Parts: sequence; structure tokens; C-alpha cells
Amino acid sequence: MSDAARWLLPSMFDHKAITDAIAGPLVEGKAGKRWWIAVLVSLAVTGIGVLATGISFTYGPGMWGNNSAVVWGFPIANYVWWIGIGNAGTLISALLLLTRQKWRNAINRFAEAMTILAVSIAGLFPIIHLGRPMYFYWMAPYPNTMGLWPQWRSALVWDFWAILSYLLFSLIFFYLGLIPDLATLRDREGPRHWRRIWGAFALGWQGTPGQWRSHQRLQRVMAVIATPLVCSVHSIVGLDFAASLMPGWTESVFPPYFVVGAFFSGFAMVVLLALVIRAALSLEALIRPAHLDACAKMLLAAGSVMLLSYGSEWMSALWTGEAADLRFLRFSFTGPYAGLTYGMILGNCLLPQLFWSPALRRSVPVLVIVSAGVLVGMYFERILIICNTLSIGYEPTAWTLYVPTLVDFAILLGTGGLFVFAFLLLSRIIPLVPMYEIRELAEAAKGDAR
Amino acid sequence: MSSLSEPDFVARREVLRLIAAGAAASLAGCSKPDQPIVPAVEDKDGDRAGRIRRYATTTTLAGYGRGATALVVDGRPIKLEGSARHPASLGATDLFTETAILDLYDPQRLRAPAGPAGIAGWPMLERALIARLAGSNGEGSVLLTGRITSPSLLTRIAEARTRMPGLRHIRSEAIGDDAEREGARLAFGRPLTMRPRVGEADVLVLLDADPLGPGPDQVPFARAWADRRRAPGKPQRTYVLEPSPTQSGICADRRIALHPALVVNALLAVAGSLGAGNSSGADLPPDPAALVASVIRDLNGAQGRAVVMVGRGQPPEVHALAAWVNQRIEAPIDWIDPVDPDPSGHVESLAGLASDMAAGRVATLMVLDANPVLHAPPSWHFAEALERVPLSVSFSAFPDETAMATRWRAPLAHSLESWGDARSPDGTASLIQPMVKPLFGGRGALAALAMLDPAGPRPSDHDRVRHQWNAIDDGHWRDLLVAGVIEGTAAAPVPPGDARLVMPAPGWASAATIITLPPSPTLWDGRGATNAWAQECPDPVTRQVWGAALRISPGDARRLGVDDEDLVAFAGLSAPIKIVEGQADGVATLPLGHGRTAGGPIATAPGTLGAGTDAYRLRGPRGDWLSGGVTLVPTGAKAHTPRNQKDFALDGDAASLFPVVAPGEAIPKPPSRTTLLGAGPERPPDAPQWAMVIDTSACIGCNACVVACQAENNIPAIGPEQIGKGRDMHWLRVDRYEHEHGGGYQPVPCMQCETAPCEPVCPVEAPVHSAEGLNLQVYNRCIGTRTCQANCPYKVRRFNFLDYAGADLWGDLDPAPVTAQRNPDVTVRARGVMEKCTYCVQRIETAKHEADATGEALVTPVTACQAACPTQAIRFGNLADPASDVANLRRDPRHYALLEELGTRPRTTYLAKVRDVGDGEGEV
Repeated sequence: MSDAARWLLPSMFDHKAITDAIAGPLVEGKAGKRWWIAVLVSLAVTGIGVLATGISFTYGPGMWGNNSAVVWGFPIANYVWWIGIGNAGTLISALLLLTRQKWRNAINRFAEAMTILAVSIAGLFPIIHLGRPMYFYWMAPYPNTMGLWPQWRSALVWDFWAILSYLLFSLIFFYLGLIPDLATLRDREGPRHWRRIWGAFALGWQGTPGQWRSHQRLQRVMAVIATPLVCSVHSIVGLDFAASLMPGWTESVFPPYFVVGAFFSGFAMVVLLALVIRAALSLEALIRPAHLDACAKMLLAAGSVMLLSYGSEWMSALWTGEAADLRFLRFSFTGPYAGLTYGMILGNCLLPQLFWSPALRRSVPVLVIVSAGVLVGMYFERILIICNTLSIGYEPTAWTLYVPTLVDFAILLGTGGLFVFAFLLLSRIIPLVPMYEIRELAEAAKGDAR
Repeated sequence: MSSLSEPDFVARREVLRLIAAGAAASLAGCSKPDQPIVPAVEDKDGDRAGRIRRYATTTTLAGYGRGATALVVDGRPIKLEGSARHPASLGATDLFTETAILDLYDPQRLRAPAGPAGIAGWPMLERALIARLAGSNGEGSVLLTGRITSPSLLTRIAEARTRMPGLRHIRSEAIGDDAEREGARLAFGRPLTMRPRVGEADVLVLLDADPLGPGPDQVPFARAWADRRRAPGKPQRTYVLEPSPTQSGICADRRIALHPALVVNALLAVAGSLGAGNSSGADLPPDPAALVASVIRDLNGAQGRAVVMVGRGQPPEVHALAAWVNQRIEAPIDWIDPVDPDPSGHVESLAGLASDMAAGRVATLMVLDANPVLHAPPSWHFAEALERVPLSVSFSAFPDETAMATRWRAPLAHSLESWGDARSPDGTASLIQPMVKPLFGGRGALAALAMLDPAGPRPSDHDRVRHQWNAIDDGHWRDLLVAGVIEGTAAAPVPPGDARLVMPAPGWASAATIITLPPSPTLWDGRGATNAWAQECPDPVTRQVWGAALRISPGDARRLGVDDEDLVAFAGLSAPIKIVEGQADGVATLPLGHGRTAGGPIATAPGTLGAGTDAYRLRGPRGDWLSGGVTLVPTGAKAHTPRNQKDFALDGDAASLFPVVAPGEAIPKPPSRTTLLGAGPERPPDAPQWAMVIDTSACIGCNACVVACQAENNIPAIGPEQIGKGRDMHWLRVDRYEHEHGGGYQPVPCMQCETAPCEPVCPVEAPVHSAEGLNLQVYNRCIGTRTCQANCPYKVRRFNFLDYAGADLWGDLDPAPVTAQRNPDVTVRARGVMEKCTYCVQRIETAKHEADATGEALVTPVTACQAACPTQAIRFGNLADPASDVANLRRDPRHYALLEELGTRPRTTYLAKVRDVGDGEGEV
């Protein structure tokens, strides 16, 4: 089978079939009962999160499990986890574009949407976790009566810039890729008010060769910008910890290790999203087992790199023989958080090894289990990065454990609900699979067949 | 400009005229002041608003006075410090003096007398007393007080008893000294008080004694002990044999756990070596026996330079034998006539009162600043006996157990609201002068006594005190008020005569577990239970707050099959367990003062485990400080005990965090490391560079510094639930270490690092570095990311997770009075803001202002923790001045910095603990 043909069923070689398959449900179909139920449930869960956040704003960070030693807990773990999930979208769009991977065509739209939503949610946490959240804007450089700039040496200020630039970039890139599809929707038969909206956002796209050429060029340029941006964003998040002197955080491997971990958790989320979308929107013809196979290989690769990274952390603690680091290692494996450590290794390193088997790579139940395992394992990793170090620092009299509260769990759950809710809304507004890119694939497949 | 029409113009003029007339009329109508009043524009006597003035006064503990200085601002006292002139203070304070300021403003205080019919006024109470006492000769009347050393109070009582010969004065202090006095009486024929000259002792042997622990004599003893140990080239060895770890044991050179019943055997062995004859059956387990052998060896070589001390928990015969031993070794001890003139025993007299009351022989009872219902042994049924007294009144600051049991209760003024005087344990008299009028309508002790003697004269309390000291003329009286201390009143040592040899019977450890009942290092006899600062102050041994667990040895815990926080039941009570290394097998320990049932919401707070751990319930009928044999029964339940410091076991690391050296040994200097960090920012050449050196060899873990910091810097108490979540707010913590080389205490304030890791990580630059080396936390700029604490290796920062400053620990009571205690020079931090030790920057700034204003050289300020420390372990000063304390101490061979290898370059550094093990090589 030709390269392009792997990614597309022959039934989809026809442009009209593609448009019908993707735009059809959007324009003609009404939202089914399942969609409404999902919206209500996710809205309710989001409501719980909003309530919990409201409680936190009213009373203070004391509503969480934080204490004098473990001053960071779930809110920062949530932040890092969501930012990590957000990394995969731009990676798929940008890196796979530059490396001309055809399998990105079907998945890049919802992956980028995932990025935008995940990064937005992540961006809430640097505000939520503050003791005085109403002053969060002091982290931004603006002329003020205090005559003060933010502290440029602080990794949290770099975070601010990283998130901002990443979000802006992702939005622009996403929108850019959306324009031809919006034009398709505008030009197709359908409800007038929606066509007007889509048309407004389509910016008068006519699909002329000149426009296509500019579009492609712009996409390629942005992809080139995106690649270092993606690496920098999560490296900076890693530097929140690495630019510190606490045991377990003074690892120069953190920036690349965080980047790999980020795209690892991102790909896991992409796999789950792909499975849901292809089932819910009946897009099995466009999102093929080969796509899942490719994602699974990425998970396997990333999981193995994660194992290598963990291994290097543990090895460096062992061969330097620093007392604080050895104690940290012992605590990780035999202390009260040991269960999380083993869960993390299982989810991140061991489960993805199942993907050495081609059959398992294409098996939906295995994909679901492993992706969920990766997401949970990565969450455990974020918790452990924060709580291990802060619980077992240099001063033994300050050793304290972190015990999460209901408010902590409620906020985490709420962000999950918000993500699902926003995705459900998006699925009714824009096509989650890019039509023009599938058409490109179809042309390439037909060309190969000829 | 609008045109003026004729009628408007006329009307306006009319109005103006009316206004003028009215003003004149009103002025004429206003009453003129009787005397001209002139605003105080000029700064008379330096009395500016907001300026802190210092007044001498005295605080008391167990009836003994300790000189203090009250810091008063705008007419209200905000802090108590020590009095340099007073021998029982030496400029420092103990924990109880520091917490006393909060008692003044405590919203739980009684505010009006209350009788059987409810709240009444003073006149009603006086009427009730007059009805009973007028014209009587006092038959059936009893005055019950704690220990009274106050000359003016004693005079007043004597006057009352002259007029009413039937009036009895029962004196019973909760933590009395019956055993010591009886022991002296057995040895010398009359009660005497032992005053050891610790500074002259090469060897100090403490048998179940804790002189470094809580007590009226803690400060001067600790100072003398620490000064001696600091003296170069003069080693001193402290041996401690005790059932449960105490501050003395933790700071000792050699310590071993010993069952309290076997302490007499150790003393018998020592006495035997001095010629008292052998005692058969005085057996000791092998480890204590080895220690006693070392003690005997040392005593042999230290004639005239060794002291043996026995604790209050031991019977009088043991004290008597110790007196004999001390005489044989020519110990540097002064014996003085007891400062407390009452010859009766504390326990005996209270027991007599209880039986009298039960038999109906007491018609009128006035309890003055005592709480016998709390501390009387349960078998006396004191509360039931009290019921039988027709007219009983309790003068108390708080609605405590006794005040709720007597028919009347009346508010007693705080010592900061009263005139009076007191004597310290060495006899020195000092004055108590009030700083404010009684805030809650209380009356002082002298005024209370006046009510007992209705026919007597009614001069004011001030006049009474003045009259007591009328040998001092008026000119000198004012000087006396300034000084507070009355010179030359210390008791002179008396020759005790030859000590009779009293041989107590050898002891044996019973099979049943016994429980020792020491006074609490934070609550004393329980009076501190109403004080939020005292409740939140960690116990020096277990670091517990808001309650106390039953301490048992690891061996006992294994036998019982229990672990920390397991609830056990015993003798009708229940308490959670705390396994304590160094506790003797077969002995448990439960500090007194917890589990109170009255006193207000702080004393009865849920975190204090309720009535289950009132250790006074375990006192036997003879009022012992030991329970009878009990059986500990695990209940299977768990009870959380909030602690400030968790147990930890470090291998090897602890020795670098808390080095312990032999006398004369130096700490090896760390190898100099090449660093990419520069020398730091340019500093103005004449700016003082603040630094602090803390001598861990001198720290006794008393926690006075912790509470002094809390009082000075408006640090809120946050309650047991928050502490249980791991959120401590104390800026200064005292860490306790125990490792193979030794153990001790290490106070940890902010290190004020020259290359502070907290500074570069804050996104809004709230921590900044001053030109004087201070790491300043700018509260207004802090948005609460907590990155600074995440990056602080010492974890010295504290975060306001909730609105702690507005926190309401007092239940339904309005906490507003507590805000009056706050230091106006220190910001009260809001929720969401990070705070930490500032080297008392407000005192530094005040000192700089003074220097600017007067044009004189800067006087180095004294931080609150430094001022409070009984042993002067904390030294603060200007590093740039080569003659300063801190500059000299940095050159000391024992000097080290905490976590030096991290490159933080802390300004707060330490001197290592010295431990002189003598021939106990390899002993743990």
C-alpha cells in the first residue's frame, strides 16, 4: 500500500465524500442525546471545580493540603500536567509538518484544539495558586506607580512569557489552519447564521493557487518557529524546579526530560481524543488504525526515554553519593509516597512497552488503558516531583507530608470537566478533522495509485 | 459671574449677619474650660506618640518574683522583657514571662464578680462578705493562696489575722517544694533552701532533677550553667539520671534513663563511696550502674567543685541524703532560710483544708489566685468538699475550675495592672507596678485581701506597697520604681550545720507501670492552658502542641504492641502514646496542666484532647508526683497529636547539621570552593552588617525566644487543626537533635543569607536584600506564589495560608482585646502573604532613628530572641565592627554555618555543642 493510502480508506478518496463525512455532522446533523448528556455532566463537574476555586479564593490556600514545608501541591501539579498535555498538539502540527509525516493530517486539528484548551486551563493555575490572586498581573511588565518590574531572574516570570507566547502562537497557528475549512463550511449548504459566522472568520478565503501557496508557506514558517517554542515552553516549566537548590530538583536533565514528558502525556491525550472522536463522529475512514499505530509508537518511544530519564536521575543520585540525594531516592521508593512512584513507573514506563506488539498497538482497549495509564502516571510524576522534594528537604525538622483535601481533588476534577465541556462545544462549531488536509492526502493517494 | 438681584444680595447679607450672630451666641453659650488646655506640641521627656517606653516591674511564677521590663507604647504594655538588675532575670525571661503579656489582654478573663444569682457588682460581693465577716473574729474563715513571697501581701495577711485571730491562711502551691524542705529538715533540723553555685562546679549530678527545665529558678541557673560551660579551659561535666528525657537530660554530657524508684539506689551508691556504708539491695541496671561509677570517679577528683541535685519527685529522705553527700564533697552550695516563710507543707495543708471543708468546719473561704480544684488529688474530693462551704469566693483572672466551683468568683487584676512586690528564689525583693488600669474591672491581690478584712483600713494598693517599704525615703522611692529591684534584700547564706546522715531504704522498680507527673514546660501547673501562645509553643522534648501524649519507652511500646498516636486507657483516663527514646522502661510520663475542663475555649479546645489527659487525676492521696501502678490498655483507636517537628532518623547527616565536639575541639573549616558567584553587591563602607551567632552549647530549649519573637512580631497563634496540617507560624523554631555524638537544641531563625536562594526566584521581587545584609520581605509586594519557601533550604519562611491574623481561637468571645497587644512597629500580615524572621528590623530601624535624631553613634539593637534567652545563646550585632560579639564569635573554633555547602553564605551562624563525655567513650 502506498504511503498516503495507508492513512485513508479508498472510500474517502473523493473530495465530496471527505467534506460530507466531516462537515456533514456539523452542518446538517443535530447534536445527539449523548452529546447533551456529556455536556451536562461535564458542566456539572466544571461547576464543582468552580465552587472549589471560589472556596479557595474566599478563604485562602489553606483550603488545600499545603503546609509550611510542602508549599506547592496539587495546583502546581495541575499546571505542569496540563501544560504538558498541551505540548503534543503543536508538536504534531509543527514537527510532523516539517518532517512530512502524512499521519498528522487527520489528527492535527483536534490535537491543536487540545493544546489551546489545555494551555488555557494550565494558565489558570498560576493565578489560582497565589495567596493574593487579585495581584497576579504584577508578574507582567507594565508601567506602574510602584516603579517596579517583575523579577527577571525568576523562572515564574519566564513561565508567564512562555505560556503567553505559546498560547498566542497556538491560537494563530490553529486559526491559520482552520481558514480553508471555514471557507468550505461557508460555501456549503447549511444554516445561514452559522455560515455567516464561519464566513466572517474565513476572511474571504477563495482557495486560489496564490492563496494556497501563501498558506502553505506560512504554515511551514510557523512550524519552524513552533519547534523551538515547544521545547522552550516546557523547558521553562522544568526550570521552575531545576533553577532551585532543593534535593531532587537540582537536575540539569529537567528541561529536556520535561519536554519529553510533556509530549508523552500529550500524545496519550491525543490517542484518547482520537478514539473518542472517531467513534462519536463516525470517522473511522479518516482516522485509521495506522494513525493509532503511529501514536502508539510515539508513546513507546517517549516512554522509553522517560525510563532512561528516571534511570539517569536515580543513577546520578547513587554515584554522586550526596546524602540529601540518596535520602531523596530512598524516600521515593520506600517512603509514604512510594505507591505513587511505582504507579508512575508502571504507567509511564512499563505499560507503553506493550506497544512493541503491532497487534496491541492497534487494539482499542489496550490503547485506552495504556493512554489512561500514561496520563495518570504523568500526573503522579508531577505530584512526586513537587511533594518528594518539599517533603524531604535539607532540614529534617521541617519534613512534612502533603495530604490533599477535597478542595484539591475538586479543582482537578473541575479542570477535567472544563476540558471536556469546551471540547464538546468545539465539536459543534468547527470540524475536528481538517478537510483540506485530508483532500491533500486523497490526491496523494490517488496519485500513487495511478 | 451671575448678576446679583437685589433680594438675593440683601438676603445673603442678612444670612451672613445671622451666622455671625449665631456664632457669637454659640461661642458665648459654650462653656469655657475651667483651666486653659494647651496641646502638647513640644516633645516633653521624649514622650512621642508611638514611642516605646520601658518600665520596671515583676512577674511571678509559683509565687516567686522575677524582675521584668514592660515595653509600653501609647499607654498600653505590649511586651515583657527581662530586668538586667534582677538576679532571677539577669536581663532575660523564661517562657512564662513572655506569655504573660497575652494573659493581660485575654478575652477569656473574668470581667465582673459573679455570685449565686449571676453577674453581680463588687458592692454585692462586698456586702456578702461583710455580712459574714463583720464583727466576727474570723472563726471558720480560711484564706487559701498559692505561695506568697510578697512582703506587702504577707504584711496585709498578718494584719487581717491580728484583727481576726480565727482567720486561717492556708498556703498551697500546686507545684510545691515539700520534699526539698522536708529533706532539709531531716538533714539539718530545719527547712532550708539549697542554692547551688553552678558556676563553681566542675561536676554536676542531676538525679531526677531538671533545673534547666521550667521553674522559677530556670533563668539564673541556666545562665550560670551556660556561662561556666562557655568559659574557656574550664570543662564542666553534667550527669543526668532521670526517668524521662527533660531539657536538663538533653543538654547533659552524659545521661541515662533510670526508673524513679531506683534513683535512690544511685544516690546510695554515691553515698556509699563517700563513707555512708554499703546498702545491700540497692541494685541498679548495668548501664546506670556504669554511669554512677563514672560519677563516683569524677566526684573523687572534684572535692569542693561538684554538686548533686535531687528533683522534686523524689521523697524527702533522698533529698536529705543528697544534702549529706553535698556536705561530704564540700559542694559549692549556699543554704538560705526559705524565702517563703510559711512552715507548713503544701500538700499537708491543702489536705487538711479539704477534710475541714468536708466536715463543715469552714464557713468562709476566699481563694486568691489558686486553683486547688484542678490540682488537688482526686481522692480528696476537693470540689465536693468545697460545696459544703456556705460562702466561698475565688479571685481569679480566668473562669477556672475553682472559680466555677466557688459560690462567688471575682476578677483578679493581672500583675501588669497591680501594685505589689515579690521575692525571687534567692530572696531579692522587687516591685510590681501597674502599666494600665485594670482592663476588665479586676482588683489586685491587696484590694482582694481588703475585702476579707472589712473592718480594716482601706488605703490604696500603691499606698500599701509604699508603706511596706517606708524605710526608703521618697527621693529614693522614685529611683526604686525605675530600678524595680530593691538592692540588698537577697537572703544571706546561713550555716546549715552538720547534715545528719539519713539512709533511705533501697528502691525497686515495681512490675506495674507508673506514670511520672512533671509540670509542663509550656503550661507550668496548668495556668498556661488558657494562653494561646503557651498552648501553641512546642514541648521541648516531644515538640507537641495543644495537648500532651503519654510518653513511653520503645521497649514498653513493643510489649504493648502500640505505636505513636495509639490511644491507651489507664486509671479511668485515656491518652495517645508518644514513643520517646531515652524513656526508662516501666515508666510513663504525662505532663501536668493539659485536659482542663474550665478556663475558656483555649483551655478546653478540642485539640487538647479534652478531659482525658488531665494528669492531676493520677495524683495519689499523698499528693505524689508519681501515679500508683497503672495498666496501659490499648484501645485500638488513634488520636492525632499535633506536633511541630516529626521524628526523623538521619544517618551521619545529623552530625553535619548539629555538630557536637569535645571540649577544646575545633570544627574543621570547610574546604573553600571555587564559585561563579561574585562577592556580592557593593556595600556602603559605613553601613552596619548585621549578623547573629547562636551557641547551641548554651541553648536549653526553653522556647522563651520563640514566644518572645511571637510577642514582638505580631505572630498569630493558629490553633491545633492548622498545626496538625503542618502549618506553623513561629518565625523562630528550636530544633532538637539526637545522634551518636550527642544531642541538644538548635534555634533556627532566618539565616539572612548573603546569596539568598529565596531572592532570585520570586516573580515579583518581594524578598530584597538590604545594604546592611538583611533579607527583607516586602509584605505589600508579595502575591503568595510561595516559590521563596520552596527554594529555601532551611525552610524558615512562614505563609499565611488563611486569615491567621484575624483568626478567632476564642470561640464566641470577641478577640478584639488581643489586638491591643500588637506591636505598632510591626505590620500585621494579611492572608496570602509570606513572612519570616527580620532580625527585628523594627528595632534596628528604631536604633538608627535614635542615632540620627541624637547625632550619636548607633547603639546595636537587641533582637527579641536575644533579649529573652536565659543563657544568652543568641548574640546579634554588627559584623563590620571587628570588636563586636558576632565578629569575635565567628572566629571561634566551634563556629559553623548551617548547610554551608549550599553556598547560601548565611549571616546567622552557630557555635557547635560541646559535650564532655569523660570516660564514657563510645557511649551513646
